Amino acid sequence: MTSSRWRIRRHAWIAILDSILLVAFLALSQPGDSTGYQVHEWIGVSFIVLFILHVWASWSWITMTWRRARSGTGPRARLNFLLNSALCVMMVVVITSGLVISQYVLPAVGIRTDDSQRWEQLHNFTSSLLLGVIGLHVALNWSWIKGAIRRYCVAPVQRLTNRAGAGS
Amino acid sequence: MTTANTDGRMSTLLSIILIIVTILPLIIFATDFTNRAPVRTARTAVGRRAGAPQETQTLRLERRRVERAKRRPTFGGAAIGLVVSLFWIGAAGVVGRRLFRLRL
Repeated sequence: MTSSRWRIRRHAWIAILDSILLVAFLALSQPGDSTGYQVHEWIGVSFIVLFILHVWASWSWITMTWRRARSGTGPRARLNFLLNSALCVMMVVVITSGLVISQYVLPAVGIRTDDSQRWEQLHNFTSSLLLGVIGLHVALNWSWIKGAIRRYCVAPVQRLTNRAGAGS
Repeated sequence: MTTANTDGRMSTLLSIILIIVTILPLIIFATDFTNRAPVRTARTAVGRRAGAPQETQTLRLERRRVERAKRRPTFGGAAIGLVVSLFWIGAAGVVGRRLFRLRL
């Protein structure tokens, strides 16, 4: 497979992965109303895998931004790196505290968990703040997101309508 | 004031905000601030004034567990939850894009 074709496929996979990640995050953010707590925990466990894949897929970008931030090319590069680092730390805190207070998934595999209020507060407070930081992460990557929507949602629909128009 | 100056100041402001929102929950957790005696007393007093039932920590946790187990997700609840989350993400996104000029 040629390099450019591989790049297109990789781009498409990242777009799909990120969309699933966003839907999963939205489902996780209101556990009582949208999923119930048992499903919330199972989605949360799947979210860990998706999150690791997301970081792995963005690894080249992460190392590039880290190099730029260290070389002092301007406050912008440092800010971008700080934003993503904050997001990563908060995500790890939410995932860890979520596992600690788990009442269905971990007890189901025989792991004892801690249902203390302290861990629950950490989980709830960090996840509330995370919502805002995710918004900033979306803002940072907005041109990429817009490009992906145009490429994988708008363009295929346009192609279909054009083909239907030409056929009739 | 030049645009570069404003840009630099907004970047510094956002950096401070990001550090605070990352560290604050961890500080509260590490110091167990919300469960300290004065805070707990204040919370109990507010609860008593509001007519909330007086119960121990164990009883409260048990009651919450039962409430959660009983709670069933509904389509309306899910839709409202989705709209609320999207609203906050969108609001933060607009602020990030317009006010802090976040770009790759």
